[in-house]
Amino acid sequence: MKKPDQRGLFPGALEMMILRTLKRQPLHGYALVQHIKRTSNDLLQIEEGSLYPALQRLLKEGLLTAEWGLSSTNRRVRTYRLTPAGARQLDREVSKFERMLEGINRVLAPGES
Amino acid sequence: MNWIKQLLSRRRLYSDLSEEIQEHLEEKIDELVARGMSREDATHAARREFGNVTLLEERGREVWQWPSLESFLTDIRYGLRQLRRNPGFTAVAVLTLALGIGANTAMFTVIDSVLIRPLPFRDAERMVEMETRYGSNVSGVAWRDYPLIRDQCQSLENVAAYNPGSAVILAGGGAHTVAAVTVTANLFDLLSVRPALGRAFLDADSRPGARPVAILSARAWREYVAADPHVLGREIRLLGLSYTVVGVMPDNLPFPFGEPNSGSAIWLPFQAVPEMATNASLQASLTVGKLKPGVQLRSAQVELAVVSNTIAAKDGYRAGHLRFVLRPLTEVIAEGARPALLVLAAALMLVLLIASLNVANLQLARHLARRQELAVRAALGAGRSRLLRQLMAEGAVLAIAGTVAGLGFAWAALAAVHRLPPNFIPRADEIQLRLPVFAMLAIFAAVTTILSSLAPAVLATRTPLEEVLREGSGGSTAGKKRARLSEWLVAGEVALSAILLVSAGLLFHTLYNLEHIRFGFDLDQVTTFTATPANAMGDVQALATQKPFSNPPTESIVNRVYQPIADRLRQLPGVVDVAFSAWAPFDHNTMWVNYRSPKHPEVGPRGVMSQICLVSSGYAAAMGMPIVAGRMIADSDTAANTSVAVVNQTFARLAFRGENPVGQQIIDGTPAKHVYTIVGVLGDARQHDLTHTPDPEVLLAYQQFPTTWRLYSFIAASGTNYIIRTRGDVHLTAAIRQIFRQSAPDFALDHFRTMRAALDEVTFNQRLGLYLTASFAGVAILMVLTGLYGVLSQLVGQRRREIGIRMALGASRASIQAMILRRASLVTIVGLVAGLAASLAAGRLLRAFLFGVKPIDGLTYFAVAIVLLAVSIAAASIPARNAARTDFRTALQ
Repeated sequence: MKKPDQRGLFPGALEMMILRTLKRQPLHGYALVQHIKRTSNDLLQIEEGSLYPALQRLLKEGLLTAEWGLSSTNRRVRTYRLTPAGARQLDREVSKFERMLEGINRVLAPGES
Repeated sequence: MNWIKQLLSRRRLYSDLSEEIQEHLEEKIDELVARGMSREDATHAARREFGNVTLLEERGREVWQWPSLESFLTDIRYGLRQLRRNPGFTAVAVLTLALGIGANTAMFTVIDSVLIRPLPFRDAERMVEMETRYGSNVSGVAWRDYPLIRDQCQSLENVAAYNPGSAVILAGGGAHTVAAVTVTANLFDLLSVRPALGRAFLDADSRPGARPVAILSARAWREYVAADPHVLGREIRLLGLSYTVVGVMPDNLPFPFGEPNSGSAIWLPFQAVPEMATNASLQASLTVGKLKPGVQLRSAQVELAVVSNTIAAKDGYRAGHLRFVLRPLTEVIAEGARPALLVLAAALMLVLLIASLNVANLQLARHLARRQELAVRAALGAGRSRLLRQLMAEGAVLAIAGTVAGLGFAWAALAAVHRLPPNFIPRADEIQLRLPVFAMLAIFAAVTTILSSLAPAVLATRTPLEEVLREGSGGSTAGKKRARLSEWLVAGEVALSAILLVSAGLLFHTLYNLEHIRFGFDLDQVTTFTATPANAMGDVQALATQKPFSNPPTESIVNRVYQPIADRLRQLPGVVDVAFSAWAPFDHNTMWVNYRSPKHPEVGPRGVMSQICLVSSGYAAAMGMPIVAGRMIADSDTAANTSVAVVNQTFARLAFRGENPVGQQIIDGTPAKHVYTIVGVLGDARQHDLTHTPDPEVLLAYQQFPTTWRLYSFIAASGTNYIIRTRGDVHLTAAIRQIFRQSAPDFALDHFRTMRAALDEVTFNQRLGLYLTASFAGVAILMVLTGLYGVLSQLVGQRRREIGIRMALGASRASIQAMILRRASLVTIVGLVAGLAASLAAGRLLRAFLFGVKPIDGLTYFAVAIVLLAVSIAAASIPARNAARTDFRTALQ
């Protein structure tokens, strides 16, 4: 049995990517997966399905809203939209992530002290 | 509220989720088809890329659940279903747990009620007991020092003193022995107890010359004054004096602590005489104190050290020679019971441990049988943690069922305890099921059960799927690994049982030795009882209320009462011999005096410290003690004749260096230097202490004991102990009471019992210990039996194919049977070796209870090994027979 975890991701990374993507435009699940896969150059091999538990978590925390509707291809889809709380959460996460990245860069940067 | 909305909308949320996932898959399939894939391939590809639909859907749903409670309930339901499907396993497991928990609860409850006396007083945790240590000598606190401690120790809110004792009360035309306790006026205040009727003691009641007053316990009020509501101001006759009742205490006042008949006590104010204020050796009382709130015991102790050093300096001792030591009262009261408690608690824990091991083993066997099921479920997408949770929930269901059944079992056991003959267990009427005890054991059992179901569950879920599925169709090595784990568990059970069995064996050996000691006197057809005159001083108010020297009686109570009564008793039908002596058999409270022979100065200037006993003529005959040389004390040894003594063999050996002492003189170590002529030597006997070798003893003639002696009122006039030898078993109690009613109505008669019953009382602890450990060991053996049976049955089941092959290759049925039995013996021997090794430590714990047996007793160890081997072979015989009956044609199919 394959492990369902998102391999290569740190905890919370998937949520951050979802929030970031939805900030640009509301999307439904399938489109969201495709977008994340595409923009990350398939670097992150996530199972498509693992998106859904993450979406449920964000829904429960009130960072997203979901609404059934029809897509451009006339398909019944559930579109997710960022709430103001979600936008704030994203800002927080991003700045936290950047701080972390900066720290990692400093450590990894060669030859400087 | 948010969570209600969630609850209501949850069904919709779930269907939204599955619909969404369906849509996702279809969109993907459509896209792949549009790229030119066949519909079938596209479906596979979409599912592959999506991942485990069921699992992910469940994960999505879990977000909305209260994870613990809700999935727990589901798991419990599942567990119940599983257990219902295996009624055999469930019954054995629940029964094992019930036995473990139930027996433990019952026993701990008995121990708790009987031995750990709860103190139903307010602020009991602040109460301390104070004792005096002069060097290594331990005693109560001298009356002289008491006021100093009370007034100078600021850490103590209150300090009170009391002296437990007994007295005879005349009531309802009869004389009765009651617990009589002299107390300082502030004692009831310290205990926070108020009288139900009347008042407590006042300081004025304790002044010398104050009118004698008494306070009755509720039971004494009912028994001796017929629950008279107007009892206040009434006179009662106690200690041969008149006391005015000033109060009645409420029911259930367990004071003095730990006294057998404190329930019907009578309290008197402590009255000091002026002598006590200056002489520290007079009147050491039991002393209790109460710490001020928030004050540590240690700081009170430091403060007391200052007081004790002041006193020591005044007495001319160095600092630290005298110390007052404080200990929590609850600890002091439980102290005597602690060793027994430790041993029993250890034995009980072993039983519970064995029960847990047994359940773990059963669980293991069952989970192994279910490995395929679990593997398939894991393959179908069940998360591993979820599976573990379910298996643990099953364990929890088992634990709960076992606990409930155990509660019933404990209740039944306690009901049985109440139906035991009276006095079998002291204070049996106070035994009640105690919930904290039960709760503690239930928690312990629950933890072990759940953990024990976890271990096999981890094993069962960790195995790679392929192997499990392959195993279903044939043999595998993994199965053997599991079987070995079960065998280890059984070996553990055997080891623990061995410890219990060795303990039971040692106690049995001890009891056997106790029953077969050469006592030096007869146990059968000898009855004893005590007779106490109404004015017996006992140990109450000895100095304060009586003046022993002022006017000694002209005629000794021996000639006035004891002897005439003995003569009348001798007339009763069935009576062979009658005698009386100062101490009851197996009485530890004897008296010691130095005696020296003027002809043997080499023994030392003070001679030999000996027990003394006053006896009547015929004592040796009634007790059945052999006269080794000379003669016994006779009726002709009256006060007018030479003072005589009879000594035992030990005394003769020590004081006369083996020389024949008959006709020689001994001089006692009192200032008066009384001289006695030895007329006879008695065989050594263990009439005082069963487990000690006999002490040197000097018997003096009762009727020669002078009434002018200070000791007269203590040891001669404070009652006597009659010894009656009968022909066959005759019941004399009624006839004896009749004689006393006619000739000496104000004597209280107590402790009617045969010598055998007196012995049983002395060996009560050993017997109780033996019965308990033996029953624990019995339970343990049962568990080993079921455990081993289960493991071997499983082993035989697993090796069916192998056995089939062996038989096909020509192995005989007998050799197959032998193979299984060998396996069982091996497991048992491994357990035995470990268990017997551990018993060496257990034996040390038991040492205090043993008599005539070393903790390492070869015979006991051997017997235990034989018993456990026999049990294991019995347990193995059915699986072995089944194995031998294997039909290789079906086994190999």
